[in-house]
Order: sequence, then structure tokens, then C-alpha cells
Amino acid sequence: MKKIRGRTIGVFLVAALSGAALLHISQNVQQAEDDLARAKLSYESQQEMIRVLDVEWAYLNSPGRLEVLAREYLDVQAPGAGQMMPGQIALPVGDIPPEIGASRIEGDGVSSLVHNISQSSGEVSGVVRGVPAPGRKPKSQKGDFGALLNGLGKGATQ
Amino acid sequence: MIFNHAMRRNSVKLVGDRSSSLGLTRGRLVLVSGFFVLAYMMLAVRAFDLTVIQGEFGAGAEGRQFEQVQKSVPEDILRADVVDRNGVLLATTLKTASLYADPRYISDHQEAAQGLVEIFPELSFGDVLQKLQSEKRFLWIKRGLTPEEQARVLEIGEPGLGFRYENKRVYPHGSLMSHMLGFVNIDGEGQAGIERSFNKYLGYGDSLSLTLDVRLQHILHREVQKTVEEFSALGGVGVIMDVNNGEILAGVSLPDFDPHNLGSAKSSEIFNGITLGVYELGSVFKIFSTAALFETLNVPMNTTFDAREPIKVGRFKISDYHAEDRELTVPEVFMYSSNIGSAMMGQAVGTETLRDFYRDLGLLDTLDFEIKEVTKPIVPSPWGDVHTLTASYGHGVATTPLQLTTAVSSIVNGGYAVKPTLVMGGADKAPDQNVRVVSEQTAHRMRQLLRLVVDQGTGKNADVPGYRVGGKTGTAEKPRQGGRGYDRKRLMSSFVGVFPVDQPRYAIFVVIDEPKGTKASYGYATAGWTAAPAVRRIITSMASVLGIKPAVVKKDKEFGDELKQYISVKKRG
Repeated sequence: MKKIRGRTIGVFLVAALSGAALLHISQNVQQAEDDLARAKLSYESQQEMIRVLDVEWAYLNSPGRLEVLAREYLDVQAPGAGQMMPGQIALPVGDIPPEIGASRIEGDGVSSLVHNISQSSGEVSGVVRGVPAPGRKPKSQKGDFGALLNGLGKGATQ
Repeated sequence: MIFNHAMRRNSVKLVGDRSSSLGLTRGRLVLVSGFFVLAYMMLAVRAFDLTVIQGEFGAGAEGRQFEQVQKSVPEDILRADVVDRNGVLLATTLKTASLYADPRYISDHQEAAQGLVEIFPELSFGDVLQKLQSEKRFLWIKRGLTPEEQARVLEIGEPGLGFRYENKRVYPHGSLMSHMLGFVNIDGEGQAGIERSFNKYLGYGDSLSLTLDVRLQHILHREVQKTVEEFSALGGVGVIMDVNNGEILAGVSLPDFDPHNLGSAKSSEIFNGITLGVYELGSVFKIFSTAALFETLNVPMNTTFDAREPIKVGRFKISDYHAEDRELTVPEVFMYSSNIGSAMMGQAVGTETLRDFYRDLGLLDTLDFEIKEVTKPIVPSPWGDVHTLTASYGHGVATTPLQLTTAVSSIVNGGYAVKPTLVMGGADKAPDQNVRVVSEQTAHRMRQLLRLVVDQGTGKNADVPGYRVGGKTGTAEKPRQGGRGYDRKRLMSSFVGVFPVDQPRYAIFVVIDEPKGTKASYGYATAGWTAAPAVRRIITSMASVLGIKPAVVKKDKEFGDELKQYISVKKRG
């Protein structure tokens, strides 16, 4: 009798341990599946978000829309062929030619212009002096954005 | 007591085999009971796990919700993006909700229909109500909802209204390049343009880069539209091509359509004039007859053609629009766009040779192109000698604007045949690996003549100082409606420009369908007043967008100046 009881207890123990181990594994698998599903959900929603943002970006940067906005808010218009200066102003296309060194980009580039705007409380000084200002219309004050443009305009015409 | 005693007496008796089998039975009972206890314990643990650990508010709820959503979304791969040559998005696919109704669960039909019509004003109350009262279990109400519309439908709170998630094709630039991109049907199958011809490829999820440049496309669209409006024309077509490899940088056909709203598009708007429209394009064909003359007979520039009298062939009479009434040299014939001179050139080249030359340039056969909406040019059959005369100045042969642009590119690029392409990588071959259609000498002479037309001839309005524009005007009368002959008042005015003409990179072709003269054009609706200024504005804008620097050329060093010695009398100012 003692022999049977001991074996029974042993079987119970093994069964209980196996059950516990199985439960543990099943829990882990379940957890992993949940993590995976959550990661997939996150990935999918982020992918979808990126696609939506891509569409929005493409729409907002559509040349037609930019042209309308530029006409409405900017005091400049596209340069005519006669206003482009041969050999002196070249719009950067693709790689920067080696003859245009980094110093020139840093000195006259967009980054310095932004820095000066943010730092100066008054007028922007001479950063864009070399650039011609073709066909400017009379300036109008249009809120903060207009004030910024006004500041730019003053800088450009000094 | 007696029983107990008996039992005790019996138990005392049970020794040996019987005793051991009883113990065994008891052991089995314990084992089975234990098994059941364990099973119930497991069930209890599992129930705890399902209800508490993984319950509705547990960590896994979000993931399972996602799986449910996934089941309602088609499992196919998302239709791939289409981008322009700079990676700007032209077409993509977004997941959108579509609204359906299960009429069995609709609690208040009237209220639900009223709510839906308020959200979607384009739906009729009667139709929606009829649907909601139907016996069917599934009915589409509206497909491709915006997130805002979906939120408003949810606010109705009707359990019989549900959503299925579908993929919707979106074109961020709207109608800007609708004829090149094409469109898809509601099931996402390509029906026209690139969407149709690359339907399978895009369906596999591989994105496609086109040769189009959205900036140039906008410029071309804007200027053709402006010209169509200014001259109250029926429509217009424009193409910008890289002459060295046939890449199409922009293609416009007006009127056009919004690919998101095909239901309201007319057939004339969906019609792709670039590849499907066959037109008798008039004097721009003189580029080909003149090139054929140089190529086959190698005549000198001072060869003259008597343009004093119109040519009469049967019932046809060929005369000049800008009559000079004298003998004209080759540059003069080209510059003044003399029909008589060009017809004589065609005659000199010969019927067979001219036809073969046109065929080599791809003007007489169906275009081999990535877009499937192509058509066969209209070619005289049989081709008689009289057709040689008329085909020399662009009448009697009708071809598509894209074929004409391609043929012009093949001549001005040095003489190598190019094939139009709309897909990046489709023109990997170097130009000189292509078949030669004219010699370098002929190409050079043609470039000089094209420059002459813009510098001093009918294409003056296309000139952009510093950009060495060359080109040729073409004003063709359209065939009379319901009768023979041509209608002098209904014109197809076109201009093909190349720049910089000494080393051409771009060909720009603009055709305006039935322009009407204006005060500003002194009543003229010819190519020099309509299409040529449009090309000038396009080149001006292209130059600033692409950063092309103008070149200062001294007056006597102008490309093509050496041809001026063959121009004897300048009749007009």
C-alpha cells in the first residue's frame, strides 16, 4: 500500500509539474503572440500613417498649390529668363560642384539666413544681398507670416 | 453490530489475492479522482487565465482587436506607389472604411436613412431608405469614407451599420497627370494609362518610378491650359521629351479629368490626346520632308524652289499661307513655311523614299509605348504621288503628338532614333547605340534651320533670349465636318521647340485645338500666335526650375547665322 501511494504521489507530482510547465509555456506563447500582434498593429498603423503623411506631403507640396500660395502670400514672382544671370547665379541641381566649397554654402546658404532671422529682433541684415529681387509687388502686412516676409523683403532690398 | 462484526470477520478473512486487488481498486479510484481534481483545477486555472489574465482589459486585447480588423481587410498586397523621377508621390493606396448595412439589425429605418443622407448629401433619402428596408443581409451604402465621415456614421449609433476596410487609390496631384497615370476601377484594377499597363506589376507591391517630373508637368499643364483659355480653344496637348533618350518629362491632354471622380468625367476629358489623338499636324512635318531631302539627295542649302505659282494636281491646289512669290532657297522654304517649296522637296525625294523615311521615324505605324491607349496613324492607302506632295507639308497624314515629338527628337539629337518611354530605366541605352535615322550632318543642318525659324521666321514668339530655342510652327486646317476638303476656320495650331538648339536636350510640343483669334493676336489663331508663345513661357519656367543658365551669345555668333546668307529678301518685318 505504501508502495502504491508513493507512486501515485509521484504521478500526481509529475502531472502537476507538467501541467504547470505547460501552462507556463502556453502563457509565454500567448504573451509572445500578443506582443507580435501588438507589434504588427503598431507597424501597420505606422505604415498607414506614413502613407497618409506621404499623400499629405505630396498634396501640400503640389506645384500648383505652392504657386497659388506664393502668389497670395509672397511679394515675389518667378524670375523671367532675362533676370537669370549667366555664369553668376546657378541654382544647385544634384551634387554640389567641387568648385563651390562648403564655406560658401555655410556663409550664404539657407541655414545662416534662418539663424539671422531667429536671432534678430529687428531687420535682417544683408544675408541675401546678392540675390536679385525680381518683380516685387507692394508689400502688405499679413500677421506674423507677413511680418516675417516683410523682414525678409527689407533685408533683400538693403 | 452483527453486520460490523461480520464485516470485521470478513476483513480478517480477506488476505492474499483478494486483499491486494481491493487495494489496487482503491488506488485506481484515487488516481481517477485525482485526475478529475487536476482536470478541474486546470479548467479553473484556464478560466482564470482567460477571464482575468487575458480578459477584456488584459494586455492582449489590443492585439486581438487588430486581428479582427485584419480579417475584414483584404489580405492581398497593397497596390504599389507610383513616383516621379525625383521620388515625388504620384499615386498610392490608402486603407479606407466602406459603409455597409445589415437591414435585419436596423432599429429605426427612417432615422438611420435621415442620418446617412445628412452625412452623404449625394445619396438620396429614398434610395437609402429602400436599401435599409430590404430583406438582404448585406448592402453597400457608401465606399471609401473619410475618417470624419466614418466618425459621424458611428455617432448615429445604429447597430445595423457596419464598416469594411478597403484599399483606395489616391492621386495627390489630382488631374495634373491623369492621362499618363490613368485610373483604377472600384476594385483597384487599372483601367487606363500606367495603372492599366502595369496593373500586375503594381499589384505585386513593387513601386514604379516614372520619367515624369511633377514640376515640369505643372508648367506644361499651366501654359497649355492658359493658351486654351486665352484663345477659347476646344483643347490642347503638350509633351516635353528628353531628346537624347526619349524620356517623357511631362505630358498633358486637355480637357482632363479628376481620377477620384470618374463618374462625372466626360468621354472627351478621358480621351488621351497625346497617344490616341491622330491629327494632321501641318507644317511641323516640313522638318521631316526637309531632313529627307538632305539625307537622300544631300542638296546644298542654296538649292532653290520656285514658289511663285501654286501647284495644281488634279482637284488639289497647293499654295502658300505666307506667300513670298519668288524662288526660295531651302532655308527660306523652311523659314517662311512654304507649302509649295516643301511639296517640291517631297517630289524631289520621291514617293517611296519619303514614305520609308517617315516610317523609319515611326510616323506611320502604331506607337510602341508603355501606355496601351495608342492608335494607328491615318496614312493614305494607296499612297500616290499626290499624297507625297501633301505629306511633305503635313496634310493627308495624321499622327499622334507623341509620335511627332519622338520623330523630331530623333532628328535633332544627332540622328539616333529614340523610343518614347515613361518608365525610369526604360531608356538605359546610350543614344548612339540606337539606330541612326539621319546623318550627323543632316541633324546639324536641321538644327540650324530650326533656329532660323525662331530667330527670323514664323516662330519668333517662341524665342527666349539666352536659351537658343529652335522650332517649327504648324498651322493645319481641320477636315470639314460632314464634307470633303478642309475648313479654313477650324485650325490645329502647333509648335515644336527644342533647346538649347546647338546641343539639344529638350523637345517641347504644344498643339492647340481650334483656337480663336483675339485682339492681342490681331485676330490670328495661327501657331506663331498661339502655340509658340506657350512654348516660350514653358522654356522660361523650365529654365528657372531646372537651373539652366542662359548663355550670352554675340550677335554675329548666333547658331545658324551662316544660313542667313541664303536669305535674299526679307519681305515682312
